[in-house]
Amino acid sequence: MTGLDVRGLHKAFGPQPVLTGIDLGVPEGSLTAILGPSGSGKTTLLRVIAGFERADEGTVTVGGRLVENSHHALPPEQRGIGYVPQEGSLFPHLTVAANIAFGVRRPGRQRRRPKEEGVRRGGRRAGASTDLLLEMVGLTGLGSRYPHQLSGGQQQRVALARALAINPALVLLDEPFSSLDAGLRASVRADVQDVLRAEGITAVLVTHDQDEALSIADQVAVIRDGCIGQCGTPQELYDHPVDPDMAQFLGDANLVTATIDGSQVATPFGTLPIRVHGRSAATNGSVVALVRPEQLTLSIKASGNGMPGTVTRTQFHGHDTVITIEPTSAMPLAPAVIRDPTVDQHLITVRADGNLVVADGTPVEITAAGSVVTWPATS
Amino acid sequence: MTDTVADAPVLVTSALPPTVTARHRRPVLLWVLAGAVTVLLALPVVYVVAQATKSGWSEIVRLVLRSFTLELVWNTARLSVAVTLACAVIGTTTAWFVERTDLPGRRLWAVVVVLPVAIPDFVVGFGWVSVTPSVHGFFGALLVMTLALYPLFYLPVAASFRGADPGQEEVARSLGLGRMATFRRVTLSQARPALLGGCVLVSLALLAEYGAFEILRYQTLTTEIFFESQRSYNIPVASSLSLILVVLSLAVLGGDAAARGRGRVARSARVARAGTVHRLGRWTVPSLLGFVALTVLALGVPIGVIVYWLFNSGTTTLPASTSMVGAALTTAGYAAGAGALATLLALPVALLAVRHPRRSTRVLERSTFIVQAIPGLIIALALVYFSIRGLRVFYQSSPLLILGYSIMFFPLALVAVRTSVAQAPVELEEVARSLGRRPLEVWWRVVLPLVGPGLAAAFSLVFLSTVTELTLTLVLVPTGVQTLATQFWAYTTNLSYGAAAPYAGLMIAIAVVPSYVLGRWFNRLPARTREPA
Repeated sequence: MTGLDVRGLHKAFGPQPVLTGIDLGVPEGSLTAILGPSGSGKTTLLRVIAGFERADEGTVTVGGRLVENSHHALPPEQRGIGYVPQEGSLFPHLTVAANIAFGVRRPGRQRRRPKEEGVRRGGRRAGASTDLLLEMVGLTGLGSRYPHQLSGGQQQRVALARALAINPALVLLDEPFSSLDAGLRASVRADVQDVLRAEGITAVLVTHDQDEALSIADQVAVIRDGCIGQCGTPQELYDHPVDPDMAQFLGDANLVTATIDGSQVATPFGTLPIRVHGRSAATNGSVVALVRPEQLTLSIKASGNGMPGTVTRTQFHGHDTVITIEPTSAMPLAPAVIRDPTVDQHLITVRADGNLVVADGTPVEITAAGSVVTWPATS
Repeated sequence: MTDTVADAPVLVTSALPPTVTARHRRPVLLWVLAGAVTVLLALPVVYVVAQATKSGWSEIVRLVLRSFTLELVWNTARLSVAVTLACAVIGTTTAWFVERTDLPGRRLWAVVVVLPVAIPDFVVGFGWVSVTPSVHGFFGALLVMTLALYPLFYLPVAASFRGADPGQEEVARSLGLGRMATFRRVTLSQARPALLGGCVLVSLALLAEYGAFEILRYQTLTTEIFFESQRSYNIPVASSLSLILVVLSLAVLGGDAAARGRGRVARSARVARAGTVHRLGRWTVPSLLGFVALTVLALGVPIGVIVYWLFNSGTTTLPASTSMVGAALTTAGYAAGAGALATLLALPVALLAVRHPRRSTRVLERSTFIVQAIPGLIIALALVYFSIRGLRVFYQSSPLLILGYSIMFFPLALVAVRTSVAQAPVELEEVARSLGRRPLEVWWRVVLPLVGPGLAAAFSLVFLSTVTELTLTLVLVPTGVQTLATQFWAYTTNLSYGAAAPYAGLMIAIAVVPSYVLGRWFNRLPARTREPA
C-alpha cells in the first residue's frame, strides 16, 4: 500500500503555472526527498498535500484515503498529516511541552469524526506522552522551556516531535535543515532520519540540497519545470540520470563527447563499457558520455592511454581532494548539454584520495574506470 | 485500514465542506473593510479641499496673502524650527548619556526623562504660567514646548543607540577616527532614522497644538483657526488657514519621506551586543546636575504646581468631588471607546499590510498615515461639517467625539496593531491546522494569545492620548458633558488655577496606568522577536 499517492496534480498561481502534472508515489514507511532548485514548485507541492493550498487538478491520496481531488478538499485539520516547516514555527507563547501536546486530544474528549474514524490510520495518539516524544527527539527535560530559549536545532526537533504527536499518516518536512549551521545540520538530519525510520513513518522531505536528498532518502524525486523529472532510489538517480541536465544536478559530472563502438564507448579517458539503461543504450555513433569525478584517476607518468592535461586547482577536503584539470588539447564537447553556466565545462574534475598532493601546473594524465551513461549527442 | 478502501479510494463528500474556494483566494473582505477605513480617514482632507473650493481660490489667495496670515505662518514656522532643534539637542544628549555612559542611576533616569510625555502640553504651560506670568510669547512657548516634547526625540534615539551595531563604531575608531568624529560620523548617522522620526513627531505636535499656546498667549495658525471657527464663526478665514496648516503638515511628512529615502542604515550583526560605555570621570557630577535640572524644569514645575494648588487653595475654590468623579468617568469612557474603535479600525489595514504584502496594500497602509499630519482641530471641524450636512443625529453626540479621537489617533493604533499582527505569522496558523485544530480553535489558541498583547498596547496608546486630548474635545464634546480636559480648561481660562489643578492631576494619574502597560509590552517585544531565527 502506498503512504502517499499524487496523480496528475496541476497548480497555477494566477497565470503562472507552478505544477504541471505531478505524479508521485511514496511507499508506506519510507522517506522520499523531493529535490529541486528554488522556485521549482516543490514547496507548493508540499503545501497542496498538506491542504494549505488547493490543487487546480489532480488527486492526493494519503494512506489510502483520498484527501483532495479537483472538486473537494479536506481541510488541513482533517488530513492527519504532520507538517514541519522550514523555520520550525513553534508557537512562541507555549512551552516546548505545550507545543508538542498542541494537537493531542485528551482521551474522552476526542472530537466526533463521523464516517472517517474507520478510515483513519490509527487515529491520533491520544495520551502519547510528551515526555516520550521529547526523549525520542533527544530533548529530555526541556519540556518547560520556551521556544526562544532553544537553539535552532532543538527547535527543529521540537517541531518534529509536535508533528509526530498526532500519530500522523504522513509527515511533511519543508527544508527543515536549511536554517541550521552546517555542523548542526548533519547531526539533526541524522537524528530525524533515525526517528522517522524507527517509527516507520511515511515522510516527504523537500530540499534543494542534493547531498541531503541522496544521503537521507529511500527515494528521490527530482522536480523540474513543474513535473517530476526523475524518481528513484538515490543510487538509480546518481548512476542512471535520464539526461545530462539531471546528471549535473545530482552531483559533479564530466560530460564529454564520445563515440559508441558496439557495447563500448570511446571517451577521451579511454574506452569504457556502456551501462545499459533505457534510452542511452539505443544510440549509435557520436554520444554524450557521463563520467563521474570519482571514476577518474590521475597519473604523473604519461602512458598514452589517457587524456593529458594540467592541474589548475586543488581543493583539499580531508577525506578526499577535488582536482581541476585543464586538458592539453581542446576537448570535444557537445554544447547542447551545457546549460549550467556555473560549471566550467572545458575543465575536468577529478575526485582523488585525500592524501594526494599535486602542485598547480603539474602535467598529468587522466584515465577512467567503471562504466558510463551515454545520451544521443543532439539531446 | 482495509484494503478495499485502498483499492478504491472514495472521497466521502458529505463529510467535506462545500468546495473550498481558496484556489485563488483574494482578501476581498479585508480590502472592503480597509478601504472603508481609508475613506473615513480621508474625510478631513476632503473637508479642507471642499471648503477651499467653495470659497473660491481667488478668495483664498487674498486671505492667505494678508500680512496677518503671513505673520501667523512665520510664528508657527519659527517656533517649530526652534523647538525641534532644542528637542533634538536635549533628546539626543540625554539618550547618549543614558545609553552610552556610566552615568549613575542610568536605569532610573531612563524612566524619569520619559515621564514628561505623560503630562499634556497645556498642563506644562499651565504650570509655568502659574509660577510666573513672565513665561509667555515666543520664548515662553519655546521653553514650555521643548520641555513637553523632548521625550519624542529621546525615545526613538535611545532605542536606536541601544540597537545600533557597536562594530561600526569600533571599525571607525580602528580606521583612525577620534571619539567626536566617530560620534558625528557613525553614531549619529546610525540614529538618523530615529532623529528624522523625532523631527516629524515634534513638528507635527507643534503645528497641531492649541491649549498650551492659548495659555502662553502665543498666536499660531492653530490658535487662530480655533478662534475664527469657534468664536467669530468666520468660516472662510478658518478654512483658508486650515488649508495652509494641512499643507505645512504634509510638507513635514513629505520632507521626512524624501530625507529617509537618501540613506539606509544597514545592520549586519545579527547578535545584539551592548554598545561601548564611555566613562564620564570628572564629568559625572556636572552631568548628573544637568539631569536633575532637566527633571526639575520638565517634571518638577508642572507636578509641583499641581501639588501646591491641591494643598494651598481654599476649599471654596476646589470643585466638588462628585463633579470630578463624573468628569473622570466620562473621560475614561470616551478614552476606552476611542481605544477600542481605533484598534478595530486598524485591524483590517494591518492584516492586509502584513498578511498580503503587495504594492497595492503598502500604498493603502501608507495613505492612512497621512492622517498623522491632520491636526485634531481640523479633524474636529471636518466631523462637524459632515455631521451637520449628512448625519444630523450625530452632531454634538458622544459617538462623533469617539470617532474623532479614533481618526486622530489611528496612526498610533496602526503601529501597535501592525507589530502585533506580525507576531502571529500565517505559518503558525497552518501548523496549528495541520495538527488537527479547526480555524476557530486556531484563532483562539494561537492567534489571539500572540496578537492580544499588541492589541492591548494599541488600545492603551489611544486611551492615554485621548485622556489628555484637549483641542478636538473642546470642539466636539456634546453640550453639557464634562470631561477632565474641558473642566481643566474651563477653570484655567477663568484663571481659577486652584480649581483646575485637581483635574490636571487626575488626567496625569489616569494616563500613567496605560503608560505602564505599554512600557511592559515594549520590554517584552525583543524576547518575542528573537524566537525562530
